[in-house]
Amino acid sequence: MSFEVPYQLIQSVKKGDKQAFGRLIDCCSPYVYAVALKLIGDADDANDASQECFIKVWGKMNTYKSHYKFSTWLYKIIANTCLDKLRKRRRENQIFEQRDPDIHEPTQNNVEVEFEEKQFVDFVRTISGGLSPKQHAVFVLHDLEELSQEEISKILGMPKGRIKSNLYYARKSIRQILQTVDQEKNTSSYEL
Amino acid sequence: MNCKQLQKIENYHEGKLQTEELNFVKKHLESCDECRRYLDELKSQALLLSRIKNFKPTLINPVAFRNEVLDQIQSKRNRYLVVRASRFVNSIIFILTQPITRYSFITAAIVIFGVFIFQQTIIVRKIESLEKRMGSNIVAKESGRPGRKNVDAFFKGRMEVQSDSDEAFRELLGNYRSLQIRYTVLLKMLKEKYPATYQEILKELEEAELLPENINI
Ligand SMILES: [Zn+2]
Repeated sequence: MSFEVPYQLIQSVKKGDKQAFGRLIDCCSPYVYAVALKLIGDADDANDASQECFIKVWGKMNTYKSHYKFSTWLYKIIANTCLDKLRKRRRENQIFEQRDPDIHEPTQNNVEVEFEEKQFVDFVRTISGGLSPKQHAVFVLHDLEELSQEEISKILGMPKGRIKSNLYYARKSIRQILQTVDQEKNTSSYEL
Repeated sequence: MNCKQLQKIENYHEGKLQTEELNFVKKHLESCDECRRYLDELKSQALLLSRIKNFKPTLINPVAFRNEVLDQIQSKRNRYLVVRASRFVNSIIFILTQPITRYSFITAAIVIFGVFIFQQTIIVRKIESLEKRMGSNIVAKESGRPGRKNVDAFFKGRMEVQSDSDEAFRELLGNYRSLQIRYTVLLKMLKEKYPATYQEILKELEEAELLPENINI
């Protein structure tokens, strides 16, 4: 998902205008959070990663060159932040299955939204267990965010050939993961 | 997963089959449970993926999110300033406690004091030379080496000698604390009252390099 930020707003933020930065956050935070959730699969962690991302943006703003697409630059920061978190989680061996499964229990007032998000988060958790962080990131940016391979190459600092191979293996693994999930559970949690 | 037609089911699901094969697979599906289950699986996976793709996660409270980020930036900045300030104070304390800096501080203080005294002396000398040229119109200052007291006495003395018209000047001079300014004012006064001697004095002062830079003559 690509989005535009007004040139003037970026210039004001570059000059250190905090109010302008507030407006920039307002305009980008939905996209940043959405990508973070797709990459991490946990609402709280995604929120933390998004905040971290904007703090980095504020600190690095003067290194942003305007010939670079701002959304690409922002995706790069959020993707790196999330990949760091994913790698850290792998090191710490925090596998999703070990977490409390009732953490996203739907509340009464917005059952519909909560249910969808729970399903979504379950999906991300399941596939991220079987993919490498890079494969996961390529899958999210290409198949879910529908970014071009060129953009993904800039965001992840990866040549196009490796994007294609990562994508191939990611899709294959996801198919296998979903198959095993279906076979393991007679009543699949993904039954739609 | 034993049926040999499973690959064809995948192609069927992706819409890749042409008439003959298509009819064959359709027929096969009617008789093979395994392939039907597999097709159902593929369908539900595709549906899942499309739903996942269409799902747009939303920030529950974007305003709170923004304010938290701004707060964090502010507190980070504050922490940074505190750290910098304490580092600065620490380094000053460190420098001050070094023996070498103590000596250089004393030396610097002596030098600054010396320069100050020197400048004062020059100004007093300037005033003295003026005073000499103004001759009988000015009461000689008290005896002793030139200094602030003597200069003050000179001004007082001069004013006493002058006629009533100098009242304004006296007031004016009273407002000036800096000797440099007093000297400038004095020169201006001289220019008005004793133009002839003023030119002479100016020349003399210029030769002696005693002319103040900020005077508008
Ligand atoms: Zn079959």
